[in-house]
Amino acid sequence: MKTQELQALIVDWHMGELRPEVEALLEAYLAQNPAAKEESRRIEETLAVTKKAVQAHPELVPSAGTDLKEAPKVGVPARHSQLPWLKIAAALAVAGGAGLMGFQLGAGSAGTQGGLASGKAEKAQGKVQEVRPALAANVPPSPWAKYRISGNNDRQGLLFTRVEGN
Amino acid sequence: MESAPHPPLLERLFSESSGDLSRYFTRRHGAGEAVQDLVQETFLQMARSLEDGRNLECARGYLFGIARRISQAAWTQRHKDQNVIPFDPESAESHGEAAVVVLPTDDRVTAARETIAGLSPLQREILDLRFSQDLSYAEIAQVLGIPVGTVRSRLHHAVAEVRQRLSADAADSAPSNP
Repeated sequence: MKTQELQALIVDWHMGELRPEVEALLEAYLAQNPAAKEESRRIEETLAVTKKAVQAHPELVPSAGTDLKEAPKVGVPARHSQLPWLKIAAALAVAGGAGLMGFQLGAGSAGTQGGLASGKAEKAQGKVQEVRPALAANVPPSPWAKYRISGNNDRQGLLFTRVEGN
Repeated sequence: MESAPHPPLLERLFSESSGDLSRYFTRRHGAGEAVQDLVQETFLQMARSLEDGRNLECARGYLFGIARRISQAAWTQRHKDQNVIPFDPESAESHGEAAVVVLPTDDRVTAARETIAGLSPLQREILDLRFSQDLSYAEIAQVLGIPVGTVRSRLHHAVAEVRQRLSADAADSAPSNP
């Protein structure tokens, strides 16, 4: 058990917020671990001091007109700005792997089947067939298959688009 | 003229929570007759909700939710009235609980107070509802209209902040080894 998890459990335990079965487990754990028991004692002490401070100082209560919505943390904008790059990097890694897979599927096939999907219309020149990666493994490969990766407008992941040409 | 009998739930809530509600309003608006008016208004609205057949899973949380809205309305009304000075427990000598409570001399309580003063209003509100009104996480969540998980995480964070401060103070005051 991580220290933070244990501390959170102990706080909830002292607050009387644990379910009985979890409470019993925690009590058994504390009985067997003197260090954890000492940690519990320190948390209990902190809670007692906090309670005293809150009760003795009503000025700490926000006035009734105070907006309780929390301002975004300082670190959040930077994190948001990094996320697109992480997504792009992940997408590039996936795209590279998929491109290699597509190349191998195309190069390693001598069949005459339509590849990722059957149907006459799909065999037409320049016909574009969109499939999800999971489907691609179950279809016969095509020697002419090329793959293009596009964005995820419907938020269901990247689209692997097979383009058949001459 | 006889009044209609109160539902058992309302009577139970009144006996269990009217004192807590008085304290809730006193901590926000100062002591005085107005507090009793606010308590009465809270129970009046609660009675209306019960008459409407509202099914309350967490009646105490719902009651304090009403109290919170009434407190906000009273605060707004107070600010609209330019002739009335808003209650300020820090500067007030004769108002409310601040004047009644004997300030503790414990340095740790002072340190905790300073730490809590630096927390967000939401965290301070949660701490008050928990330690002053003795509401559960679920009841606090209902009063504030936020998820229980948010109540829990903000409370844990606040306690961790206080603990960090107390530990730092203890380390500073501990005699250093030669």
